[in-house]
Parts: sequence; structure tokens; C-alpha cells
Amino acid sequence: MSPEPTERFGLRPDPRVEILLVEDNPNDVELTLDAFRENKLTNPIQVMRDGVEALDFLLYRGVYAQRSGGNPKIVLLDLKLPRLGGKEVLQAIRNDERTKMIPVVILTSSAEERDIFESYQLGVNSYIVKPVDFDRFTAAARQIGLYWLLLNKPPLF
Amino acid sequence: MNAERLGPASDHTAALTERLAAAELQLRTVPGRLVGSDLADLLHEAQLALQIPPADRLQQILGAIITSSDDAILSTNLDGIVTSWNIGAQTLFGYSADEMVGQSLARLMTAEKPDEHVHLLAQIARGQNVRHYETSRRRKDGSTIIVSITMSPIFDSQGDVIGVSKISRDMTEFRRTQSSLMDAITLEQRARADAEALQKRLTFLLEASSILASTPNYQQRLEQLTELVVPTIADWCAVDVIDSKQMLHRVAVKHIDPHKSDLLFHFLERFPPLPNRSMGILSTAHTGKATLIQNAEHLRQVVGDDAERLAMVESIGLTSLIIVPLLAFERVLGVLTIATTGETPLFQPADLEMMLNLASRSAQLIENAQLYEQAQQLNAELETRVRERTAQLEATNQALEAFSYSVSHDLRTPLRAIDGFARMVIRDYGGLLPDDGQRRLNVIRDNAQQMGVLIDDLLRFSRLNRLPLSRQTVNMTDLVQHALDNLSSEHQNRQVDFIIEPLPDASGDPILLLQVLVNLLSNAIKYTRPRDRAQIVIGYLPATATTTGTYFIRDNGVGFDMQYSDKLFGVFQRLHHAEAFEGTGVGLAIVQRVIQRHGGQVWATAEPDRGATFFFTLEGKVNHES
Repeated sequence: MSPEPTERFGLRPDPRVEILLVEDNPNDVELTLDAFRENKLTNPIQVMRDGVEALDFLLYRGVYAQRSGGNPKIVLLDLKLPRLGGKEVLQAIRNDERTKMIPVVILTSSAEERDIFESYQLGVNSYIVKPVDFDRFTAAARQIGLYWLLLNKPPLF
Repeated sequence: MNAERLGPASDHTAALTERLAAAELQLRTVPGRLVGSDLADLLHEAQLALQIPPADRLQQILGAIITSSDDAILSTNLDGIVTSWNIGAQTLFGYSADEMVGQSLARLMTAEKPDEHVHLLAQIARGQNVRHYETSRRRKDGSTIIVSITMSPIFDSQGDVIGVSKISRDMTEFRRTQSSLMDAITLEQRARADAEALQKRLTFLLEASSILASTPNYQQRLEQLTELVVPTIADWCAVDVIDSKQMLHRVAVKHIDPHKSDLLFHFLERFPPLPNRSMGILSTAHTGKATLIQNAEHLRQVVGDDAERLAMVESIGLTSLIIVPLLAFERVLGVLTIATTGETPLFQPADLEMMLNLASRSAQLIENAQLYEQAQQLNAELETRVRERTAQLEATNQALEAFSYSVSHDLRTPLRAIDGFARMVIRDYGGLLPDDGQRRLNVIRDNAQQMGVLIDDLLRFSRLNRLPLSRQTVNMTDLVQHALDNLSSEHQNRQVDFIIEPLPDASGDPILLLQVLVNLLSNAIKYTRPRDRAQIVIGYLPATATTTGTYFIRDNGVGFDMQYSDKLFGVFQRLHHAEAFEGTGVGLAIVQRVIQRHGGQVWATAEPDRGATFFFTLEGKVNHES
């Protein structure tokens, strides 16, 4: 667990995490947080640096065994992660009664047909390819935030 | 009979009459001589004379008989010394009376029976007669004649035998005639037998040919052939084929007696044909020379001369052998061997001829079969190689997929960071930078984004090779329209005339073909940009005797120099500067790859500033007419 980038941008960890960002690349973490900030999305964000950590958080295991709060409103999941990959995390989320209804958005560099297909097979809610162009990336982050945090109605956990 | 020594014959009248009667009988019974009847007449006259003395008249008549006889009439004493010798004897034996009287008959004997006259004399002396005894005699000139001899004893006044009279008749001519008649009969019989044998051989060859042309399995055919050969032609038959390791391999064997066939098989396993023999299976296999063996000495040479081998030859009663090479294009493919055993007539040169004929047919069969086997083997090898290559390709494909995945994911991530952080610097600290500093940061961003486009295009291109091709009938007019709809944003505020000529349906993957049309039309739109009025024609050239039906897209754009046309379809190859016409150089590479995957061809003709035309064909296209 490394909340360092979150702190750098002045977003204090909130017991009631609304966005769980699972991303191992610190540059991408910074860019994503910057894009949210630029879009005035101030919802509490928790960053997980690999798949195991993400599952620990979601399933109250390991260092997160005693954490407070419920499920996030949205999980933004990269596919290529150390230890446990994005698809395995997705599968584990969908296989657990506590987490199977959490909206999960794959946010990845991969535009591979196979990745898209398999992710939807595993029950992903949305699949978004990160644009190289930062302006378009920022635009994508804005739309994700607007849609999943404001427009979308998640089930009550 | 010597007339002088006959003496007064009154005492012997009765005996003489009897002897003359015997002589007559003898003359009459000797076949083929007209003179016999003449003699009989003379004898008849003699008989009349005997009834009418005087004795000198009788002697006169007897002397005339003896002198005029064509038969040799002579007398000897008991030691075989000649005492009388008539003209007939001189004619028959070549010796005159002067040469013979007082001489031994031994000089007339042949080398085979030098003492025959002694035995004959002994026979007479014992009181036995010699009648029509046929034997050989040597003439004065050394030639041998066949004579028929009749001998009678000569008695003295006391009734003791004192000599022998002999009548010899020349049978040589008769025997020769008889012999040539026999020869003629034999020849006739042989000719008949030959004709029958020929008929048999022809029938055999016909049957053999039909066998050779029947079943597909050549080993089975050779086995059937041996079954026809045995017992029709031979008592034993074997076919040996030279295999790929230059070893003789017995593929078929047949013996008239199945038990012996097994015996032989084991024998041959234990005692393979001997090497270094001037005759035999190995020799024929080596030299390609056919052999006909009819004598025991040669058989021993072929089979071997140790006790066990000889016992084997003995037990199967081997008598003659024919060994012929199976020749195809002067190459010995194997050896065909047949044998006779026991009482079966020995093979003749005609049998050898026939077997050579049969062998050449069999060789063709084996040659064909071996070629077929080789082809089968090559096919199998080819299939194995295809499987191996397919596996390799699949492995390569997987590696490529892993690579693209890596490119797709990992190469874009740093680009996003470059672009994103440059953008953040401009946003957050732009005010602190001089204009040129901001411009240069924007150059960094432009390049990062351009590289992003390149990566995307490259991935698109590599994905084309992995997508399966799903062929169906495609309405090309609809597809062109669909492509143009996609491209509408690329020619906004421009005057572009699209002319779609009648297009036949194509057989292809609609998604991939749409990509082809989009890329080609997008190029046409892009490179006609300097034209006030762009014209883009989409058309079709029907197939001719020498060409396939061809689709084309012609524009009146800036064209290109045909000198560089070979670079047109290369990945990342461009013929125009990026400042003038944007692009990564992947579009046409994609077009070419798609067309190639359809089994078609793509090419272009152009002239700088006078437009370009792109042509493509699709294998398996469907024409409206058909």
C-alpha cells in the first residue's frame, strides 16, 4: 500500500473510498490523478499497485483486514500488473459474493481484441484504451468520472 | 563261293538245291532291291539246270550268278582268310579280288568291333547260322557302310566245315533313307511340339499381362505371377527385388509342392545366393545378364557345392534354371528365377526368350510401383514437413502475438508519460518558459503522438495476418459506398466527384475488403487535395483470355514517379513528404497484405502530377455474368 501519490495531490485517504485505481506504473498513476484533478473530480481515490494488493483491499485481507468502509463505487483496473494480472483480479472480484456487483472498468494501454473479448467474458462493465495523447486521456478521465461517479447508479452495498 | 573249288557236285545236289532255295528266300526277303527278283529268275534257271546235268553246265550257271550279283559274295576259311571275292564284294568294299584273296577279313572291321568276324566265324563253326545280321564295315577308302550279312558253312566231302560263304548286302542307302524318314517324322513332331509350346507361351504371356495389370498392390501381383508360372511354365519360381539399400529382397516365391516351397524358403534364408559366382541370381542382379542353365555342372556353380546345398538341390531335383533380370531403363530392379525339377523337360532358349519378355513387363510394374511408393513417401515427408512448418508458424505466430501485445501495452505507456508530463509542464509552468521553450515542448508532444499513431498502425497491420479470412460473396458496389460513407469527413469543403462504374460481386472477407477500399479511397482523396476539382473513378476490367478480372481506383491527384513504385507497398515506406501529405506509410502495406491473403495481386500505375491508378485482383471472384 502506497498512498504517496494521493497525498502529493492533496487528496486525503478517505475511509469511504469511492474510486479504487489499480495501476502499477507511477507515471500513469500521476497522469490519471492529474486528469481527475483537472476535471475537478474530488471523490476519494485509493491507489493499489498490484493485483494482490487490490484484492486484499476489496476482500478485507492482509493489511486491509481491519479497514473500514464498504465497496468502492468504481474499480479502475489495469490489465498488466505485477503478481496478479488485471483479468485474474476481475475474475476474483466476480467470484466473490461481496464484490461481484462492483462496477469494474478496464483502463489499459492494450487495444488487443483478445483482451477486450476476455474482459467482457469475465464480466467487465467497460473497457477503455488509454490514449497516448494526454489531452484525449484527460478527456477520457473526465468522462469516466462523470459517468461512473455521477451519472451511473451503483447498487447499494 | 568259289566255283572252281566246288568240284563235282553230284553228291551234294540235294544240299545245293536246299542252299539255293535258301539263297532265293534271302534275296526275296531283303527289301528295296529290284535285283532280288532278277536273281530269283537266275536261281530258278539254276534249279532247272540242277535237274539237268552235266555238272559243268551247273558250274557255269553258278559262276554267272555269283559274278552278276550286286551283293558281295565271298568265302573264307575258318581262320577268316578270304578264299573267293566277287565283283559285288569289290564294289561294296572297294578292294579287288587280288587285294583280298589270301588276306584276313580283319581289314574290313570297324574300330568299334575289330574282332567281329572272329566271333561270327566261331558261331558258324558251332553250326549256327548267321542270317541278315546287320553291322558296320570299313571300306577301303575308310568310310563306314552298313551291311546285312548272311553266312553259311562250306562242307568238305566228309561233311566237315572247311570254310564259310558270306553274302553281304549294302544297307547304307536304305538305312540313310530310313533315318532321314525318321528324321522327318521327328522334325514334324518337334515342329508340332514347338507350335504347341509357342501357343502355350503366348497364352501364358497373355495371362501374365492381365495379372500384371490387375490388382494395385505390386507384391500381390508378383505373387500371382509366380502362381501362374508354377506349374504352367516351371516347377519353381522366385522374384527378388533390389531394395533401396541395394539388397536383394525376395518378394514372391512359389514351388509346385507347397512343402518344398517352405523348405526352399528356409534354405534360402540359411543359404543366401553365393556372391562372386559367374552365374546365378547375384550375378544377374549385378550384371543384368540373363542365364539359362541346363547342366548339372553349371547348377552346382550357381547353387554352391557344399554337401548341404547339394543335398538340397538333390532333394528338390533341380534340373534346369532360368535367371532373368528385371530391367527398367537399363537399371536392374530385381531378378526373376524359374526352375525345373524332376522329370519336367529342361528349359529351352525359347523359354528364356519368354521369361525375358515377362521380366520386362514385371520390371515396368515394379518400376511404376516403386515410383508410386516414392511419391507416397515424398508426400508423407511433405505432409510431415507441412505439419512441422505449421507448428513452427503457430509458434512464431504466438511469439508475434506476445510481441504485439507487449508493443501494444508497453510501448504506449512511456509515450503517454512523455506527452502527459510535457503537457503538464506547459499547463503548470508555461508562464515561466520563453515561447521557444513552449514550442519545443510541443514538438516533444507532437512526436510522442505521432509515434502513438505509428504503433497503432503497426499493430493494425500485424493483426491483419492473424485474423482468419472469412470468404463470402461481397457486393462491391455496396462496399465502395460504405467506404465512402466512412470517409466523408476527409473531403469536407472540397469538390470531389466519385464515379462508381458497374462492379461485379467479389468473393472475399467483407471486413478486410472494406479496409482495402477505405485505404485506397482515402489515399485518392488525400492525394487529390491540390486539385480544385478532384475526380475519383472506381471501376472494373473484365477478365480476358490472359488476365483476371481487375478492380481499379483512379484519381487525378499528384501521382508519383514510377521509379519508386517498388516502395509503394512497403511498411512505413512513403513517396511524399509528411509536411505535404500526412500518413505513416502503413495503408498500402495493409492493402497489399489483404489482397495477398485473398490470393490476388495489387499494383499501381502513375505519373507525377497526372494521377494514379491502383489495380487489384481477387482470386475466386464471382462475376455477374457467371
